[in-house]
Amino acid sequence: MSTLPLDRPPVAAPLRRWAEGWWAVVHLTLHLVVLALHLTALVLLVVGTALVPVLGVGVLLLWPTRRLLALCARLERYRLAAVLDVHVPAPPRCAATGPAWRRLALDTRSWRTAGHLAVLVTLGTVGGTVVLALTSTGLAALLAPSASAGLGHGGEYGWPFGIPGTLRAPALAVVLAGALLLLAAPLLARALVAVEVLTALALLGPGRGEREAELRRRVDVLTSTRERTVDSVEAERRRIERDLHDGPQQRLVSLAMQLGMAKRALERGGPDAASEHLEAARSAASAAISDMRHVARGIHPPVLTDRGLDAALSALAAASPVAVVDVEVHFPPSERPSSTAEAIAYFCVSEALTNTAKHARASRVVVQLWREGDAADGRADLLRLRVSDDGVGGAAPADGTVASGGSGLRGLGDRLAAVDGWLHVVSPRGGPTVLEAGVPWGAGGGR
Amino acid sequence: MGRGRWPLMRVVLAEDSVLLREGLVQLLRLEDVDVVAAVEDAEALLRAADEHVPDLVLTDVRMPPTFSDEGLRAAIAVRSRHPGTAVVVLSQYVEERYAAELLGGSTRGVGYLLKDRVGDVEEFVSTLRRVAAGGTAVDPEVVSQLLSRASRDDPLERLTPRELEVLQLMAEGRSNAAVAARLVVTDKAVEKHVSNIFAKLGLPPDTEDHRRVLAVLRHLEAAARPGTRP
Repeated sequence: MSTLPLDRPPVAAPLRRWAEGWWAVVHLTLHLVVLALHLTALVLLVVGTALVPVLGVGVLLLWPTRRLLALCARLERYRLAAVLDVHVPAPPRCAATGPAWRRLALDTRSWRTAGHLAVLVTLGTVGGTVVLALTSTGLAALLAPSASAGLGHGGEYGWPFGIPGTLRAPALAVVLAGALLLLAAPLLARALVAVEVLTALALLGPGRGEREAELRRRVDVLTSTRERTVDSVEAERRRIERDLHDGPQQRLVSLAMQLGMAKRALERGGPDAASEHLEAARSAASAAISDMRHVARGIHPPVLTDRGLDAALSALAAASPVAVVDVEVHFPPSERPSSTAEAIAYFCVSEALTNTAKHARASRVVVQLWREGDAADGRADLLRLRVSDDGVGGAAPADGTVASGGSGLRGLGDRLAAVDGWLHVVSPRGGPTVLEAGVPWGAGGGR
Repeated sequence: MGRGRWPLMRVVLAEDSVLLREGLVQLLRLEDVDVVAAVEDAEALLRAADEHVPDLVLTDVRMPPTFSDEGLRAAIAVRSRHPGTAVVVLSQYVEERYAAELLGGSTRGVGYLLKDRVGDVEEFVSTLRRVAAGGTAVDPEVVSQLLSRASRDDPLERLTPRELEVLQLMAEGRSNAAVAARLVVTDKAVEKHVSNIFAKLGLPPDTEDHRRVLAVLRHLEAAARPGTRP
């Protein structure tokens, strides 16, 4: 649900409340337009329910009624959003299963919609009529003196509606009365609509049980992603330790060993005998430095922080053994996702490129990044990425899940799940492989 | 160190990194050590040990297939199968627990060293020879881990700095003469320190180097674990 205009702080001048009240007037007037539809649905529901005991004939009637009610609910949610900017979330699908009559009886959405329609039909119709009458009378009264001035009227008016023989009033009083009515109509409409919004939130949105079920589902998801996050952090630390052990540590031991042998050679045979060992030591030192750089970059590439994804991914692409790696970033450098989102996207691409180089026998990889959705229009604001190659495929099961894929992909899937992102890999045997991911633009904060 | 002063030592080497394996083979051959087999995993090590029954097995801890402690377990297996074969375990890290497992039972011909020690070729090779001859070598790192964990009211507190130095060198498996040479003091002075140490720690005096090491290590280990202090 987004902002409720009726709930805006009272600091807004009464004039603004009044002006906004006209939207409520429009809304209530529209009630009269959809009244026929609502009444039809309600009558069908009552008749259908009444006929259920009669050999179940009612069920035949209730089945289409249920669809009609769902349609009404959708229309109402749309109308509330369009006219009043009140967003009521749609309730989840009915979880009941079994024969049609059971689903019919247990689908609380229909019953709750019917309740809301009943409120609309009474409150809305009465309110709509009253507000419409007030508005039109007000307008008529306000305009009547000037309209009739040209007709040479005597300056006194039948009241109300100029009916002869009723109360007579002077022109100024009529204009004042009209202005008062126009002042009051939007405020009354606001009050009536406020009541309607409350019932809409209660009856058109998810019910209490459904909200609880939704929360429970969310807790389950958070619990499992939290566990997997801890696991993947541990796996990551093990990987770093292994990288250090297999790379720099070995090189440094080798360096120490070569220097030791050089020293022994100097003691025994002089400079010539030592030079071979010194050269080996020198190359072990360079290799250790390069390994160290590799490990550090695997933890976090500095250029990613300094210059963003485009620069970091270009460096990755240049280092890839695949012949052609195109990187396309479809958002301006001035727009940067959170540092967490950037890091996750970077490691997704890094893992994808590593896998491609190792297994895909591809000659070309295209890396695309773009921004999808926008927080302003209510859709998820995502950093999207796609890595596609022309290789031999076979990297993931047909259903696109990554649970049984390589441990690298699984770790990434876990990291994405932890920030409510997603990862999808399509890689049929014979290729090509397409990896897609969505990372919430502001994931985890940072920047 | 002159060549030919030692009987030719036959060694089986196990190390999974090609770089280090080849480096070690080169190093040992330059020092007149006969490397009869150089293998890359624990299983091959056991086979080679059975086949050659070498004087010494030199092995890495982390090796395929699980890259955990298969080298250590292979070393323990070699010791029980071939009591005459000494083992030296090399590792990127040293752990007291591993040391305890390796030294459990007999301490004859056992060594546990950080890989860094290969940098000092002369010292490294002489340590190997010492272990092959039935000595014990525990990396100073293990000893200092144990010393640093010993609690405040420990008898170790009563040792003088010099006595601590002697204790450390002793734990590494050095003889009195070697300790004396290292500290540039007389043998007599070392003997005095050693008997002081044993007295202060409440250990029975022992003249055999490797049993001395074991006694000191057991003491340190117990001192490092609160509640089981001797």
